[in-house]
Amino acid sequence: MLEVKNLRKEYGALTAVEGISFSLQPGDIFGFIGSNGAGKTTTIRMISTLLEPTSGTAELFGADIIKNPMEVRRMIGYMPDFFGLYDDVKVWEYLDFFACIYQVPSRQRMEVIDNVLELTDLTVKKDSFVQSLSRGMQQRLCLARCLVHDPKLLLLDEPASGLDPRARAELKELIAELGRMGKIVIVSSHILPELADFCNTVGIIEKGELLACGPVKQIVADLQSTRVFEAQLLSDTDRAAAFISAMPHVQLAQPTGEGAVRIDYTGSPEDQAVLIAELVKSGFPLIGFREEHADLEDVFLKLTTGAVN
Amino acid sequence: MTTTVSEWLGENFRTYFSNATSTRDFRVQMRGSKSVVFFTLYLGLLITLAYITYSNSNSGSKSIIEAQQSLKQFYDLLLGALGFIVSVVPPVMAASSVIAEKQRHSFDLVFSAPVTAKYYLVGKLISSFRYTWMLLVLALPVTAACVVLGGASWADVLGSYFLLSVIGVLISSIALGATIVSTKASQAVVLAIGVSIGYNILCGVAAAAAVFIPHGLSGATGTGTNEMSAIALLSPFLVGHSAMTYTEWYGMHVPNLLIVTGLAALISRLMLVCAGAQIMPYSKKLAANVRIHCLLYAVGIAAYVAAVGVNSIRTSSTLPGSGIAVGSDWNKVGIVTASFIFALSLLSPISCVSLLGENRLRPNGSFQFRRAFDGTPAGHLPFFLLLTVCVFLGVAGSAMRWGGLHSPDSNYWSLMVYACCLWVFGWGLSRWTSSFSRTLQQAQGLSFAAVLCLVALPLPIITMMAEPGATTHPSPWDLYILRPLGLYEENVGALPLAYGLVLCLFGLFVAGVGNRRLARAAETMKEARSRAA
Repeated sequence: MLEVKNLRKEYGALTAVEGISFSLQPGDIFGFIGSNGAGKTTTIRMISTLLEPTSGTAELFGADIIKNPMEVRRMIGYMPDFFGLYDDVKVWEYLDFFACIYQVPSRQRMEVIDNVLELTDLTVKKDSFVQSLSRGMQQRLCLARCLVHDPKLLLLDEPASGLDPRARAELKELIAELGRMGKIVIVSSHILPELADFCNTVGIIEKGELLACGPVKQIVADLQSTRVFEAQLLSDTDRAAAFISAMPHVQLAQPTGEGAVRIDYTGSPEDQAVLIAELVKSGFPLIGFREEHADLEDVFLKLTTGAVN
Repeated sequence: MTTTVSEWLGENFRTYFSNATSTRDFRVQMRGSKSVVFFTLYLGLLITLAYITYSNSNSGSKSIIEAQQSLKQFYDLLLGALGFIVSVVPPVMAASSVIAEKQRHSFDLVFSAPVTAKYYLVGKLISSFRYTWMLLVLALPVTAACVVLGGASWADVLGSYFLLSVIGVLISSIALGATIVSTKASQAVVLAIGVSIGYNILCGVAAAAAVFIPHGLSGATGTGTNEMSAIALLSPFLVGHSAMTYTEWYGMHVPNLLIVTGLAALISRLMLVCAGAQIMPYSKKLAANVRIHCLLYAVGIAAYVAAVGVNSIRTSSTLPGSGIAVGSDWNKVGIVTASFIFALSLLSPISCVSLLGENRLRPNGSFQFRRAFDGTPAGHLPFFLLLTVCVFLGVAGSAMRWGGLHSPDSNYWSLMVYACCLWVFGWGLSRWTSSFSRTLQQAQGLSFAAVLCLVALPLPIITMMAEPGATTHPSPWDLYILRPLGLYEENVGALPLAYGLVLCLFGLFVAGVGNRRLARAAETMKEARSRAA
């Protein structure tokens, strides 16, 4: 498991990351959300042992990033937000280089390369030059590079930036597959819908502070003190709003102007059933009743102010 | 224990014989037909030159002696050309290859893997030198022709090739250490060529000096035909003359090839550790390694220079030089050593600090002895004071052991204190100039300019004010900060101490002012940030 403990990074008078803590289990896909300059990349670079923390630490399956960085490096695959690909090398040579520096035994190297190429759907490009690949393919090659040594933790910094919708969908599927394989995956992004689909845990960061962290549903629920319903009526919305306001557990009921009433409700599902029954019994022409769910974007906008370091 | 040894062996095998960095670079270098065409042209040129030389030396009008001389000249010319190749090609290739990685942003990919600085940099050295070695090997048949035809012996040829290889690695590693801070490939190439030229000039001067000064720790002057100072062998342009020479060491003939290989290994190691400390994440250990190397090398160089230099000082002294310690001897040794420390103190701008941007050199504290080896500004002053003491101790030990001097006197120790105070002064000035500057480079530039102004600017003014030839006190020269270094013929006693004390107090005062200004600036910046937030 990965345990991040009070990780902090200062650059002179500037605090880039301020005491971040969270923990992840194998199979977790963690979405790291924040504006540009919020501290996502700094945190990821600290976990990947590329940047020394000012204080705090992180442990990956018992190996400390400060005391034992080499051991940690053997267990991680880091994909930065730029490709850093070598010119004039073929796809297999590129992977062979990384397999060699990750000390994959030479007898197994070609088999491993074939496997990761198959996983990332690049087998047909094995003998192509790296610079001849499309952006999406280069991104997949970078991911293949991260996988040659079968890491336990994958750190993907803005993996989908600059990709077309199809390449993005393929990448999402690939990351989800890696999660199913039991790897811990940390994905940073500021494109929220992309993360909400496949991350089971998210962390929202702003100005180096982790504002919220946990399963997506839990974060949304924690942020919403009331449930929001919308009652759709054929007519009489004003009268219905007044009627609903007088009901128990209703904090606010307002007509929306589109033949609906918006209700802020604190009651249980049983109370909710009573409310619907009373509305129908009182003769209001009710044609729909649905709960409005807040999404990750709502949570993000509610939590953050847009300030950056 | 067995595991540790096998791990160490495995790591070294991977580094030197199965290095992924060198394999990848070599694949790229050999890709396509460019290399084949280049090597063919190169070989063709060498063969043509050899044929023309052989035809000339074999012409009917020449005697056998003239023909031999002509072949010997061709051999020397060929080795000179190989010396040029070794001076230019590997340093440029190594430097540009590392900077290309920096520009490509591929450092993060490599260093997020379990790769050590040694593995990576040795790989870069091997890949750049393997290419050069191919050029040397291609020239071997032509050089071998000189053996067959009578210009040189096999031992000369093989010794020269070995020496060229060692020097190539040495120049490459120096270029790598010096160019690692570059941001552009063109900048790195220019810097690498500059370093190579500087190295060759320095070696040329050292080789020339080696002819005139005694060498070896026995102080011999070189009577044997093949006896030569090992320093001369560091020049790639002299390998043809010096490959099979030796240094006499207590009656033993030590082959200079061995000494040069040892020296090259030590210097290359230092330069690679320096380069590693610049590019590696978590580089505190490497920074400490660099500093420990510097201390050890400083002691070694100081001891060697003292061993060969004290005799010169003593023979030129007007005082009795019978081996009995006299004040003037230690005074002169001290002045020469303090002058060396002063030359080093021009580096004091590296103690500058910056408030902006990422600064690897944190913390900025004033004097923390425990930071002496981690490369932070807080440890600069203690490290340089330690370096000064080490150099003085190295010189003293060597002068006593091999120079025949007795224990150092008060002149020597007071000059050591003065040298330490020079550092405090330089450091204080750096702190003060840092408080006026927004960036680190600006602070360093300002600090260097300030040191130069204080040293160079007063010279013409004092020269005009002082009476020519006057040696009495007081004199306008008494106001000059390097005054104790000019008291060559005097028994200086406590005078350097007084100068040192004044310099030290002044340095501490300006450092205090600078530190207060820096603290205020940091506070203001923090407040501005919180207001903006």
